[in-house]
Amino acid sequence: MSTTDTGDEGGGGDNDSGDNSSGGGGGGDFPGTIKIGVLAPEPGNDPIGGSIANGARLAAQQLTDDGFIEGTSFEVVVEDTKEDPGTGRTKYRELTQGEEVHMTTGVFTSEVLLAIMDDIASEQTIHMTSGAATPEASRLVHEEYDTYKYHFRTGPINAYELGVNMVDFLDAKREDLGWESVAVLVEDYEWTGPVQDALDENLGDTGVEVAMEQRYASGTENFSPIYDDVEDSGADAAFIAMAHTGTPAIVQWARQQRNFEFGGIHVPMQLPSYYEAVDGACNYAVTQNSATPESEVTEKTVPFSDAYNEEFDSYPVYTGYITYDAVMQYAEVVKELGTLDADEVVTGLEESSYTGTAGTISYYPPDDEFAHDVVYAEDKVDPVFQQWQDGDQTVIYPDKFTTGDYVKPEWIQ
Amino acid sequence: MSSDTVSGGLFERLESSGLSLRYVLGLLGLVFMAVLPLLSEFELGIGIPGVFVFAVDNLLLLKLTGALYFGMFAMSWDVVSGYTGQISFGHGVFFAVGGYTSALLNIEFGIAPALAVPVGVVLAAVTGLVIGVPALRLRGPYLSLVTLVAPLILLNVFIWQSGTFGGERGLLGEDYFLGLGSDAALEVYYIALVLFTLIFALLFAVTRSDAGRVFTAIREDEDAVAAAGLNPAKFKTFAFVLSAAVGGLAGAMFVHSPVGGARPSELMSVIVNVEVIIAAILGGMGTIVGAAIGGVFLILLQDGLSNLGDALTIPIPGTETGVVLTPPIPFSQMDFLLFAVITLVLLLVLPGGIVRAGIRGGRRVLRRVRSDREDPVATDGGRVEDSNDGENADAGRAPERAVYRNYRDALEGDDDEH
Repeated sequence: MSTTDTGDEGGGGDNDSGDNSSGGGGGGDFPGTIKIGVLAPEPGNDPIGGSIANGARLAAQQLTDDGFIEGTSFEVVVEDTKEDPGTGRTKYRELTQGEEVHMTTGVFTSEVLLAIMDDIASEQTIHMTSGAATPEASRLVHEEYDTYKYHFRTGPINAYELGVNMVDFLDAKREDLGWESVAVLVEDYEWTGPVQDALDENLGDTGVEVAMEQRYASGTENFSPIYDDVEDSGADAAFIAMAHTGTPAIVQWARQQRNFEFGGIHVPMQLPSYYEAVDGACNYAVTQNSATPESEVTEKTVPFSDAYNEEFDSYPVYTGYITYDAVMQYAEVVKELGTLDADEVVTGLEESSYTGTAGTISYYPPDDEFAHDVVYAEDKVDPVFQQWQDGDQTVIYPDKFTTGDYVKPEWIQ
Repeated sequence: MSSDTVSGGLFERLESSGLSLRYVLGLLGLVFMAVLPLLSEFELGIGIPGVFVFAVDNLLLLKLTGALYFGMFAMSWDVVSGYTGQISFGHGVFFAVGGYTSALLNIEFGIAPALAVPVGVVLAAVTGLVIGVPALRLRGPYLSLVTLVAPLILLNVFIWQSGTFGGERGLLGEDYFLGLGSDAALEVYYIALVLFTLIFALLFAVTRSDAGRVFTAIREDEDAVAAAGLNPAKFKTFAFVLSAAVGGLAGAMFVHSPVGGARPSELMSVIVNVEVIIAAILGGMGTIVGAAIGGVFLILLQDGLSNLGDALTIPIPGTETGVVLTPPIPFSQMDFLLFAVITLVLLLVLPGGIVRAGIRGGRRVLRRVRSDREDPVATDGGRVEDSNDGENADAGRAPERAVYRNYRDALEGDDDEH
């Protein structure tokens, strides 16, 4: 699929022929249209893919309407990866060779990102990932910098740091939560490997007892035996990393009113509309998230989610915030440099510190093992932890973003 | 009778070449593929703007490269399943063994693809032997069941040993064949085309040889073959191993091209295993030509459908305007549905496959042209039978035999062996 949107409804887009025309801002030469290529899974159906596509569209529209670079409009071309590496590769080429886009963003599935890394290298076109978390991509940048330097991960923090972030949360909030022992439950998919490594290496330092640990099979639908084990272990909470298997897990936990609490990274629970979708089963459960519609991670977070809701009649999931930030940061860097030259933009992005909707975005340097991944730190990108409380995504961590306190499930005393 | 001198002259010239028309057309097709890169700046399409329009550029050449490798894979399936009638549901195993072997040798031991590919082919052939020897003594659904399970076992081995095989993610970092990446699309395309032609020639020759006739006989009546003193298992094993080696070659070359990778989703998923069957049946099972054309067609059809926009404009001939079709669900979201429906309809209306339908259509046109040129009524009032061309033989036969012959045309696999 390929859909093209010119963000020129509000004017300023009368020069979209692609010819060179002198730009304003940085005083450099820009084409009449800067084309952004977006790779998203099933953007018409999947909220994660839809948020990627719409996040980019909204950014392009605002940049064009505001005349961010004088005489230049921003155009978005969306392609569907279908979460398949082969399709992702074909679509990446259609964007770079067929549409001749100036940069690409998106990509949710780690497998797809790894499949296109070589193409990013040979096309020498800036790519700013806004969904896939595998640290394998940043390892390539670190080890073969000159080849792979065009890859940046604007978000989320990479899969290893996702695990570190879980540990940081538990360490900081253990007293408020009252979780003295946890049962670690991790689904067996590619993305959880580094998460599990980070938990194994760091969880011991928190003083929280690990009562049991289970990496359960991909495709698990019946959680009763696992939950029996958790209850038998005496753990206060299930400390989880789930994406694909998250919904049956949460529904069964709530229906069976299990005698333990529930939190960690639960990707479906990040969806603003999830509470209705599971008929409130996620009430009292905790998940990490990049941002929530009401959380003021930065001064740009709430205006963005409101504008998004106005334009697309729904709130974005985390990939929407990150993709919006990626396009905005790219635009700011090229405007400052006055050029679209990829090598110069690589340096520009390495030096950039950009306040977006999901935090202050800067990248690890080339000599870091996570080269070109977004920096995870308190004053940089610091994901929030939210608890579902009667239909609201209440932020309970970090303290500076909290919108409420943690509440125990009503069936647990 | 007025004769169309242009077409009459063309047909005469073609006939006098000594090759039957369909071979001439096949050669013309190959020549077209060979000169295609020279047609850059051209746009090829089916006449409806925005639908299935292919501009000849690097992007198209890379897509065609992928299609050619899939065509080779489909041909390899046809050797064993189309000819001997032993339907394999898990042919991706050989595609995967070839691809993974070559990629692993390249990544782990630094062996150049030019050397690693032949090893992949040998290992695929050995796998063919290992699965084939015990399995081919089974018949019908039992064999199909074995082939169905084989890729599932292999996938589980890949996941179990994910440290070596990369699990569902697959392998990363294999080199390109001769170092030719997507920036050398022309060379990559020609390598695929040459290989495609060679494989085609080899399989065409084998299936038209005595061995090929035994393959077909096995499909028709295995007991009769055994009764004639031939060992069907031996021939089936030969077909299976040949097919495995060719599938392995296609897989190994595919992973070292800029269009493929050593991943379960690209080499051996259920979809891949099903697509290869659809391709061979759609093109014309048991013809090799059909599998080759079907494989290429299937990949290009999928690509064309995935590039349909949200709406479709169908022009009204003779005007500048057109009818805009905007379905409730955008085309782009239902490309797989459209693909399934189109293939289903094609299978229903062209039961013997595209190639057989083309041959039948061609014969009809030829007959019409000839009947325009010649007086079919003999001096004694009967009809002249064209003794030079078996295609026209129906003319002097009883109607029920003509019907039978048409039926055989549609359903049998020996069409290309006249």
